[in-house]
Amino acid sequence: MTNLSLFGRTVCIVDDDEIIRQLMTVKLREYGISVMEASTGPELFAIMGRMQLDCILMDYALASDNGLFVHDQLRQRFLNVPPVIMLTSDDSQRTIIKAFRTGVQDYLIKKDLRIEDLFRSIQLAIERRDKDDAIKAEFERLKSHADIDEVTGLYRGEIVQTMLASLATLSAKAGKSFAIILIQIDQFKTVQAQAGQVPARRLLSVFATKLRGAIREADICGRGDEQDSFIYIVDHAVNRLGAETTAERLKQAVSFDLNLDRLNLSISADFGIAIFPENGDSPEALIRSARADLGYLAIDSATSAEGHAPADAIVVKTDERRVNARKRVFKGGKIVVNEGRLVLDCSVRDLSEAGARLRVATEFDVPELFELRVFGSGEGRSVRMIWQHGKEVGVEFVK
Amino acid sequence: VSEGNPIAGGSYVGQSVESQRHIQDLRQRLIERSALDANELERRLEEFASTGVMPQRDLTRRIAHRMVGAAAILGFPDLSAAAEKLMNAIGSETEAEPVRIAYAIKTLIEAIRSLSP
Repeated sequence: MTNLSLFGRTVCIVDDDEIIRQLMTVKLREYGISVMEASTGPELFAIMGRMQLDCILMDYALASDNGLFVHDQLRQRFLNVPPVIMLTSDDSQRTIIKAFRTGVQDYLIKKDLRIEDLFRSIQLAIERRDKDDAIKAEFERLKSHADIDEVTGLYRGEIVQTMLASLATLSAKAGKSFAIILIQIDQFKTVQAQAGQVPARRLLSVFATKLRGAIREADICGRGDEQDSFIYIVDHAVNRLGAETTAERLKQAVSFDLNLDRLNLSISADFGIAIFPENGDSPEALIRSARADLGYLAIDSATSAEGHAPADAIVVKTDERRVNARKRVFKGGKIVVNEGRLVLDCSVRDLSEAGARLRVATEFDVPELFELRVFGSGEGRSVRMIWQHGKEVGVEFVK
Repeated sequence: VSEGNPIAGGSYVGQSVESQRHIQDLRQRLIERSALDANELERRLEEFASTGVMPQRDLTRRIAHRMVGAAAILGFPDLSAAAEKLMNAIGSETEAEPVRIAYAIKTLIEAIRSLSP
């Protein structure tokens, strides 16, 4: 149980019943809590506009608004929303579930309420909030003290490692997750070997400029453990899906055409994701895990979903245009081999009239011919495997 | 005197005399407000008896809802329970709903009036 003192903290009680507001005010002041009162959403917004609150006690059924609607409005209007505890007479399971889904910290029923429970709930909500703030402050401090790599304009690799270690320690204490995305320039080593150091350095610099333009303010990005890699830290995307969305966005930003000493290149990158602590509880383990995941998004912008680009060749841009428009999708699917004797799960990432890009859960040699069933798309279709890169598979539809 | 919820319950070590007095005031205000609500509810009962239609169901529900929380939190569990029954009677969407509401209103009025000296 927390021993956090609430003395001097500010709590706002939002209730359209003046009697309830006054009672709460009397009780909370006994604990040294400073109490503000609001009877409507707009009154709360006005208070939020002039002072920082530590916690909000919100009635569900306000006279003019619904408490959850007010909560939603709060999050749209203010960057730093304090924890919200619903305090209401409505004990329907549906409302409680709905409230927790919108991110309220706790849900207390007025008729069962004990002052100790209310106090403990406020304590926990504020303590949780304090921990989050400490992580954010440390994150900001690290960002401001970091050294910048002169070629890329991004944090040096050592700094990124320090930040990762710090974030891992803090997140472990707070029971939080964060994600790292390892980004590796597809053709850097080939350019370095075939065209030399200067073009390679230029490629690195241009690539980093594109990447820098896509970094969100809340995230950290810096050099990775290899010359052609970068590490992108997302401390608020706590699951794989959120990190994949970020990776997709970054991929679009770093897919571009580049002219290097008469070489017209189509540049792209490989992406690997690792989530703390599921995939590793140290910077080294996370990077190792992200490296093993490299290629899950691998498809060169110059090649279609159906075409294969050898990993060790420079992809030279041509004037060819894709015949079939490729649509980015994220659908579940099944790989059905030998008339259903073997069925494997996959996800469908790109889809065109001619083919698709698939990702399988575990790496294995995908057969040349099989049936692909995409959820929600009716009957399965016969496909031919055109290329395979780790867990990524490009297929064309067979008529 | 409160045998009800501890949030407004009897005095305890550390509770100031001022707090106790303030809470007693609030309890008294709730009794007075509920008495006004009872008069309002009684008018609705009369209208229902003469027209067969239960008027202003939403407003009745609001009165009941407000009373459930305030009465419970201020240590009037019986009043809170009666108000909750009225709240639940509204919106049951059965043919017997108006009759249920009327019965629940009557019970609530009795619970309110039992608080007054």
